[in-house]
Amino acid sequence: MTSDCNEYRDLLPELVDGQLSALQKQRADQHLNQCDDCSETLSLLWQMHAAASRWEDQPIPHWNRRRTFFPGVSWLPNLQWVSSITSVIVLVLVITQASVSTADGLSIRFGERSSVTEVALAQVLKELELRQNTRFNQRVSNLSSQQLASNQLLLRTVLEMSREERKEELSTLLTVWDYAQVQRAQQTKESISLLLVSQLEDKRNINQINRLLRQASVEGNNL
Amino acid sequence: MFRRKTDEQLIKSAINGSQQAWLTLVKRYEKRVYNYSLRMSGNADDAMDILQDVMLSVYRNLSNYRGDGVFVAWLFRIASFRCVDHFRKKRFHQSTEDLELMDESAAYEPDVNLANAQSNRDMSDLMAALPLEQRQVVELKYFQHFTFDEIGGQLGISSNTAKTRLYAALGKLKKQSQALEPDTCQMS
Repeated sequence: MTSDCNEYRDLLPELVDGQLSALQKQRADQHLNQCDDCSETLSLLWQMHAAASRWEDQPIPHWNRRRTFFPGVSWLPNLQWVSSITSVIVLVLVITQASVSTADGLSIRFGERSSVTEVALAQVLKELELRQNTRFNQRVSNLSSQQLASNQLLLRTVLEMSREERKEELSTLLTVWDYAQVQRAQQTKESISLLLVSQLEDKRNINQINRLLRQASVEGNNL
Repeated sequence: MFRRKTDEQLIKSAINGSQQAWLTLVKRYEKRVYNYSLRMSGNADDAMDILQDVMLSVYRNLSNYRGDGVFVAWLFRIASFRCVDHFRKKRFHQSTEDLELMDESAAYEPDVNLANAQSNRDMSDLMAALPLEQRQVVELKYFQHFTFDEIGGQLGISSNTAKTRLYAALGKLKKQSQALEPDTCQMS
């Protein structure tokens, strides 16, 4: 065994698996040509590979997987019996010639020939069609009257709302008008008040002028 | 066209309570695990026990599967653990406490060698001659085709240790072959 053996021994399984690069394979081949130990190991690896590939997979013995994994639900009925039970029920119905009928006139009879002829069938179908048409028309009529009532209600509501809106608008207008009137009266009052003050002042000035004039005439007479 | 559901889809459904999804997953892998168990144990009854044990263990731990790897690698990781447990309980050839000691003189010696092993029986005999830890590496490498890194991850050892165990197994089988061919041994 040479010092390179450890390095190449690690590569031998990959060589068997075909996972070495071309360069690695070339170097490994060179080493294998010179090393009997590694060649023998490689031969054993190939033998192991070949022996493993000869293994033929064995079939599994029958086992109840559902019972193994879900033992708590084993009481559930086995579905494979459903079809058998259904067959038995139908067989009993046929043997006893049982019959089933509905309020609409549908009738199923087991175990005997059907007594329904084409004419009778057509008659039944015609009656069903007539009944269905009547029901349909009645429903349409009901819906139309409901629609009419609904429309009237809607119109009344719209009208009422319109009136309310007009009332609100008028009220707003009156409020604005009142406010303007109050403002105007206030301004007039202030103007009159100012005028009165001005007149009083004028009167006081005139009185003073008159007094001064009288005083001047008295002084003139004295001279 | 029906598209085959992936393992991850089946696992998700099974975790959400779908029994059918779990049974589909079991059917997908049961044959592989059964044949693995057959080679590890050497007989059909024990193989069936191991298969059920492995699948039950996987089912109970399904919610722990993080889905960050390949399901089959996780499955065989559990299979390896369950197999060791099974051997410990049944004490087939040697107990796990003896695995480290590997008393080769006490090991089973088949009357077939690696070069002429043809049948499943021959292969089982050869595998039975190996200590469990070497048998696991041979199984995971040559039958399950995992890489040494994956084998190391599954067995909780390094990839180098896995390689060492493989070479130890080959050495043992080589000795076995030489014992069956006394003339050749004398010549060499």
